[in-house]
Amino acid sequence: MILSSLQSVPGKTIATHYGLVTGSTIRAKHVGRDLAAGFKNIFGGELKGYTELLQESREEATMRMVEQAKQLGANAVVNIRYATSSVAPGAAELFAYGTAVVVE
Amino acid sequence: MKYVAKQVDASVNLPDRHPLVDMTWLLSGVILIFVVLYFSGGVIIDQLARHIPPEYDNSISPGFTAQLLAQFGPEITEGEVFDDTQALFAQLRKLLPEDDTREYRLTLVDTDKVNALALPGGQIVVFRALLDKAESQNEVAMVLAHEFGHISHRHHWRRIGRAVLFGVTATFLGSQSTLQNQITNIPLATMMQANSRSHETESDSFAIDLVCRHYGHSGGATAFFARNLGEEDNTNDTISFLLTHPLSQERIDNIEARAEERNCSPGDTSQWPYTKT
Amino acid sequence: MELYSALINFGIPLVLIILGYFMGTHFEKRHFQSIIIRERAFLNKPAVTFDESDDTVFPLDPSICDTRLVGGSVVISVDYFKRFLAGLRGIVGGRLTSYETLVDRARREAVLRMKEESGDADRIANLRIETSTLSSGRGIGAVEVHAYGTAIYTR
Repeated sequence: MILSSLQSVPGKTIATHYGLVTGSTIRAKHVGRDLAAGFKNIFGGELKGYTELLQESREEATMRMVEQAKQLGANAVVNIRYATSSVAPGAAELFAYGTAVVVE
Repeated sequence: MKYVAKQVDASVNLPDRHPLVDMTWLLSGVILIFVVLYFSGGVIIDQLARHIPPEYDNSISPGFTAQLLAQFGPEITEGEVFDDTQALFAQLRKLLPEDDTREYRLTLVDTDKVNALALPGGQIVVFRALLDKAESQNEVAMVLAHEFGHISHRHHWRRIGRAVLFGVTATFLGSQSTLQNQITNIPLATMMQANSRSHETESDSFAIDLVCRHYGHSGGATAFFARNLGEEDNTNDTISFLLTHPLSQERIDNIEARAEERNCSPGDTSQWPYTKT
Repeated sequence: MELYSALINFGIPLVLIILGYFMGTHFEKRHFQSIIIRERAFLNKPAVTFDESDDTVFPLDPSICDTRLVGGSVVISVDYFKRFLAGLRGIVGGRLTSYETLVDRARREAVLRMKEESGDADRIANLRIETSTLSSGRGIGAVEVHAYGTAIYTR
C-alpha cells in the first residue's frame, strides 16, 4: 500500500479511485501519566508520554484507513490529511483521511 | 481516471466490543486498583502510626477535650460519680505496660448522651449517661479498658491517616468527574466501615484482657452490649451509642471467645457504687 | 439522614447512567440506520481529498461547467453513559471506545450533509474534515464536525 500526502504518486498515474477512506481512534493514557504531565506543566519540556500516545494513535488511525482502502481493492491512498482534536480531557482523537486509488 | 462506486467498510473505525462489556471490565479494574491502593496505603499508615512518639500525643490532647466540653456540656469535677470512676480508672491505668508513658486522663462530661471515647494522647472521655446506665462496676471497667485499647493501638492516628488516604485516592482516581468520584467512593466507604469495625474488635480484645487481669474473671464484661441488643430501637441514647460501636452481637461473641481463650470464666460482678439520684 | 444523602449521591447518577445508556443506544442505532441508507444513496457522488485544479496530475475535464464551495456540519452530544465510561477509561488508559462511535457518527453525518447541500454535483473534490469539541465546564459536552470541499458540476 502506497501512502502519500501528494496529489498523486510521482511517476505513476491514477487509474481508478474509490472515494474517501477514513481511520480514527481515541485514546487516553492512565492517570499516572496524567499526573506526571501535570508536574511537567510546571517546568516545561517535552511530554514524552503524550508524544508516544499521539504517535501510537496516529499509527492506529493510519492502519484503519489502510484497512478500508485494502477492502476496496486500492493499492494506494493519496492526499492523506491528519487531524487531531481533544474529545475528552487527557484523551487524544486522531483522524486520518485520504482518497483510495489504484495507481499504475 | 474513473470512479468505481464501492461501499467502504465503516466498521474498522467502530469498537468491536459491546459498551456494557467494556464497562464491566473497566469498573472492576478501577475498583481493584482502588482496593490495592487503599490497602497497601493502609498498611503503610499503620506502620507510621506506630512510630508517632507518645510525647507528641501528650502535647496535642488538651485542645480536643476543650472542644468536646464546649459541644456536649460541663465537666464533672466532684461528687460520688467522679470519685468512683476516677478510682477505677487509676486502678486500670496501673495494669498497662510499663513502657507506656502517656499521660492518661479521664474526663467526665455531664450530658444525657450515652457514649465514651478516646482522644489522641491518652484522653479518655466518658459521658455521664453511660455511667447512669451501668449496672455493675465491671461494665464501667470494660468501657474504660476499651478506650485504653483504642489509645494503645493508636486507632486515632490510623483513623486520621485512613481518612487522608481515602481523600487522596478518591481525588486522584476521581479527578475526571464528580460522577466517577461518587462511583469509586462506594467500595471505599464500605472499607472504611469495615476498618473501624476491626478497630473496635481490637480494642475489645485489649479490654477483656485488662478487665480479666483486674478482676480475675470476666463477669459483667459483655452486659453492656447485651442490654443494648435488647433495647436497640427504644431510645435515642442507645442508637447514638450503637452508631459509633456497631454490631453488638458480633462483639459479644468476640469478647466471650477471647475470655474463654484466657481461661477467664464469668464471676460475680462488683457493685457499681454510684447510683443516680 | 445518611440514607437520603446516599440515595441522592449514588441513586441519581445511577439512574442517569441507565437512562443515558438506553436512550443513547436507541438514538445511536437510529442515527446509524439513517446514515447507512443515505450513504448508499450517495454512493455515486464521491468525495475525494485531491485537488482537481492541479493540471500537472489531473488532465482538465472538459465536461465541468461549474464549481462551488459546499460544507456540512453537525454537533452531536455525548450521553451520560458514554461520559461515565470515558471517565473510567481515563483512569486505566486505552481506547475510548464509547467516544469512537460518537465521532464516527458525527463525521459521516457531516459528509452526508455536505453531499446533500451540493445538489446535483457530480463529485466533491479537495474535501477537508475538521473536528472540534464544545465543552461546558467539566469534560466534554458535544463534538462538532465540519466537512467542506468543492462541488464539481458537469454537463
